[in-house]
Amino acid sequence: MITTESIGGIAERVLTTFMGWEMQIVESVELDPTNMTIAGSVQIDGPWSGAVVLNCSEPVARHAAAQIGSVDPVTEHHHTVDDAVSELANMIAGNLKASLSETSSLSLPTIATGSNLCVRIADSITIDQAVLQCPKGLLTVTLLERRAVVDV
Amino acid sequence: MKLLIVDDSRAMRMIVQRTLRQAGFRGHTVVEASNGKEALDAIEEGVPDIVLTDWNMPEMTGIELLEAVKQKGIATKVGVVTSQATPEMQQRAADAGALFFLTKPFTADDFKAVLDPVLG
Repeated sequence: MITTESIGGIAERVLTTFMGWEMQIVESVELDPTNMTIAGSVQIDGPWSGAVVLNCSEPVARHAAAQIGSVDPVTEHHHTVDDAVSELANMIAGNLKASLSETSSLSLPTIATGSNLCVRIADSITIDQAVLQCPKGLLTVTLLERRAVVDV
Repeated sequence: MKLLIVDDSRAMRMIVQRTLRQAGFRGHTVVEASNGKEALDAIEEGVPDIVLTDWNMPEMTGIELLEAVKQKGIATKVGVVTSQATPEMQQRAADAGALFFLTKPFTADDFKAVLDPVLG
């Protein structure tokens, strides 16, 4: 592991503090990938290279946007919802980065939407993943590590 | 007092405004910018008393904004509010004259602690 704190622990701390959500890491749960329709990702580049991907359903994303902006969770424009998910991913990645090498840098967040989403970065593997129960549903946080490709 | 909030995330700008209210800082004029360049233009048009800036933004980062403000000799106070808090970044911000360095996620108490001496 690249940090002593799990990615789930970081996410739980960030989201609890920031959103005021009561949430917990769930150990065994069956995720319906068709429900996880929005993903925010931020890449970390430096001596350690990888990405943080936050994936959730639209109700969870809309609830986050509503709570952040005091707006209607149903009618809120998708730009605000995307922005909220981006910022949550950014904060989790930023808190992770704080425990890494000082020379690391964060990318700007990117958003993907659709059904059966699987966000990857090239030459990476999943090294940590957590599922968190939020007020409006489940949220996953995945830590990807980029591995150097060796030609033989 | 006039405050300028600089963040490329509209959501985060809203959170900062909400947290300022929760911390008891009401009645101030708050303006926004979505990157360092936009902020610098806004500062040159009318100098705010305090600038709260994110670090990682397109066009011009928060530290570049802070360094530009210092280089131009503009008399405003700048605080950095970022999710990335390495000692190196904090030192760079301090060297550039940052008033404070706050890490996201922050609370109303965090804002109160750093802003009370200026706005309280």
